[in-house]
Amino acid sequence: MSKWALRGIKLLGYLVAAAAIAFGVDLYRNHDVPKALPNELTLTTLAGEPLSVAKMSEKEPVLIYFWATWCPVCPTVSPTVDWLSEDYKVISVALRSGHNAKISAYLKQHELEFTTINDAQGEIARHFNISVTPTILIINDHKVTSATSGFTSPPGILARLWLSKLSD
Amino acid sequence: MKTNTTFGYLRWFSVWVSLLLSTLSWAQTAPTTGWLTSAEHDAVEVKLALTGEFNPTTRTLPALLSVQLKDDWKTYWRAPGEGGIPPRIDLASSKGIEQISWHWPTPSEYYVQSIRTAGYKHQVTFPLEIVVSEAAEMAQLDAIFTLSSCTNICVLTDFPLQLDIDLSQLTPDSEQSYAFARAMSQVPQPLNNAEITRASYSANNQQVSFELSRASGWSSPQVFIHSDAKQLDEVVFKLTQQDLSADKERLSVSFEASHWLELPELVNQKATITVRDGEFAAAYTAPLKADEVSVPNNADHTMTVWSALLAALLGGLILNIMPCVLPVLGIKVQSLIAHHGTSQRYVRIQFLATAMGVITTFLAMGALLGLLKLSGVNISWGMQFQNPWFIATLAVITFVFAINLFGLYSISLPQWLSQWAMKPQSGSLLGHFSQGVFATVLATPCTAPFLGTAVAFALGAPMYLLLLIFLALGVGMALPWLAIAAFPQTRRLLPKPGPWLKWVKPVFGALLLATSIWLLTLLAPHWQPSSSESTSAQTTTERSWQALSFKTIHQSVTQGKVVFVDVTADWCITCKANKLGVLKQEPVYSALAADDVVRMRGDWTVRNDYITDFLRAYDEYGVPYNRVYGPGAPEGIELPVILTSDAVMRAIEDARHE
Repeated sequence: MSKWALRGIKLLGYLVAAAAIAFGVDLYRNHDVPKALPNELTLTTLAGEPLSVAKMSEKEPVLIYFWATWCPVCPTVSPTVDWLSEDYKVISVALRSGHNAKISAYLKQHELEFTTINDAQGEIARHFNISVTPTILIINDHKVTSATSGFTSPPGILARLWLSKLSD
Repeated sequence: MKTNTTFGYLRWFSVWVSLLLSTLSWAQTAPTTGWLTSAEHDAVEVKLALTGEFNPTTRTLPALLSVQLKDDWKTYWRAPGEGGIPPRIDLASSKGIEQISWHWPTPSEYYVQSIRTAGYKHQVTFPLEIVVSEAAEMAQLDAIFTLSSCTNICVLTDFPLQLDIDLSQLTPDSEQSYAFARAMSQVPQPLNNAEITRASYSANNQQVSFELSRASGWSSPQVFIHSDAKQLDEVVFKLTQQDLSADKERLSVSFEASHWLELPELVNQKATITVRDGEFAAAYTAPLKADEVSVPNNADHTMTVWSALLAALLGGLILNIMPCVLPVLGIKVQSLIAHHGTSQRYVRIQFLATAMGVITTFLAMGALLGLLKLSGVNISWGMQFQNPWFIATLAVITFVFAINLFGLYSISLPQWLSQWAMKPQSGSLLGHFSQGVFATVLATPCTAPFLGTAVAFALGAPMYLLLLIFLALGVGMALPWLAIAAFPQTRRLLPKPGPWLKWVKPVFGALLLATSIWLLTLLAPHWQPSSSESTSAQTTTERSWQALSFKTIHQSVTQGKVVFVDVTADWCITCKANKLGVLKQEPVYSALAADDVVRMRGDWTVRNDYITDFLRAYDEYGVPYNRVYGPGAPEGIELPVILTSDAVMRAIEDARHE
């Protein structure tokens, strides 16, 4: 019995350590990301609909996913985000990836259905002080509660979304 | 004739004067931006520097765009593959500049998960040619250089490039010229010793296929594709297949072409294949021919998965009769015969344990290769045999066991080793399991010839397929063990124990000894580099190359001798190709050995102003450079950059006869 308990504690220890490292890395990589949402950020989707991230984030956390067609790491993260977009509010921002038609074609080819905004000049990313793809921001009630770059696992993103809800 | 020589002397004089002048004035520097950094992204630094030269006929300014990347950061080649974007310069508000043409050094392949990209790590220097507008005296570069860089994250960074260029004030900077030549030498050329033997495009599966032949054989080639055709600008090519023929001379590669909108017509378009293989790097262009043969290609692809799995299963099974493994299986069977009384259940368990050992080891190897692949290491099966320590260790192990089987116990094995390897019948399940591990490790040297196709397929396949193929390999090899485990009765079919049993061990010992010797022969190539170096040292002493000297050239020519000048550098791949492919081959080798031929070499491996000036005297800025002087050609005959034996022989003959 005690052997199993010991193993359980050990496992828990590893998980806490891993989470701490992930948190530390997030913090270090994204120390430039502002804590509050940039003012009056109204975005237009590829479909032409206007979106207000701030308003959306008042009811539930919003995940903003910065990606690019020129980023070879992004195809490893995009399917996860796409999957999450079925149950959570997800906005994807295509960073300096060309014109609308090209991005639409790319999304179709890769079977991605998330709502996408074309940030052709990288201005939206600049608002958030983001230069790196892939980056995932979680925004809750006008505040950036979490920012992470690079490869992120599905449980990692889910954990961040839940944490964001808990901290309400 | 006489006037000819007088003219020659005059030429010499002018060369001397220009030499003297250029040495006096080389302190001048050419415009440069210095190292530029970005506050957003401190892992990259870039620098643009002009060489200070200007070609008035083409109106071009040679320049160097250097990129320094920290740690694991990479940037991309002209056609970086799926994802990835090439570095580019937007002229923005530049004045007096028409365009900038890029030269791309040979890239390396990198993998992110299973996505293949072509690019550069640590540092890369792009030689550029800045084309200045007609009649412009001054030019102003005010451009944006956009550089993409990735590790497990990607960044697009803009660097402003600003230079004021006054054409009348430009002075060549010998250091930058040297750096430019050096960077140009990294740009792949169509070297002679390989060629494209087939280039085709199949519209029904959008596959572009090539066959590249190289007489000296390919070892671990990396292949890249791009097209200069404007219509194909946005076509993305994805490597789908890469195979080597059994004799290693023919390399076939296929790429899947795709376009974000609609794929343009590829037939009759020219495509360029860049291939890197160790120190060899070259590029070949060929038009794509329509390929109608491979209509059922889609079925073919699924077929290859099944046939690869089947090949893996059979290959694994065949491994059992290889001299590396047979003794292990044999000893196991022998133990079965010797201990007739063992219960069926125990036989079953012990063989199952061994089979698991085999399968687990194969899966572990597959997982290891997969991890290496994910981490972006360039993997190939048999790369472990490029490691002399691995081979040596295996050779020692097989030798020790062979000795052991001969009954020469003078070499005492560590107790635990002989316990699990030789007497597992008295050991635990773990003992039987590790016996399987041991058999598999021993089998690896024998895998190369049999598993080539399956493993090559696995390495190019996604992770799950890779593991599946290694699983098939393991199951294949474990089949006999599994068979005995499933039907322990089969052991009754084995011969009765008798006096012949005492011969089993020595026979298997001999097999193991043979394996050990074979492994030692595999080690031979690892000794060769040092020995070939010493032979090349010998050849250089026996046929000495003099240091480059204008004075000696002049003196030798007046004595009626032929002077062959070879300006070369260790970092120059074309130079190496010339040396191995032409200079060291007959008939050139003998022709250069003739009594009236003086061999002269300028080694530009490190910067040398004398050699730079020699090149400059002939309006040349890079190596390889070859020139032949003689009574028939006192001012010298320039040879093509890529030497051919004909050109060298003809030049020597022409130079010899006045």
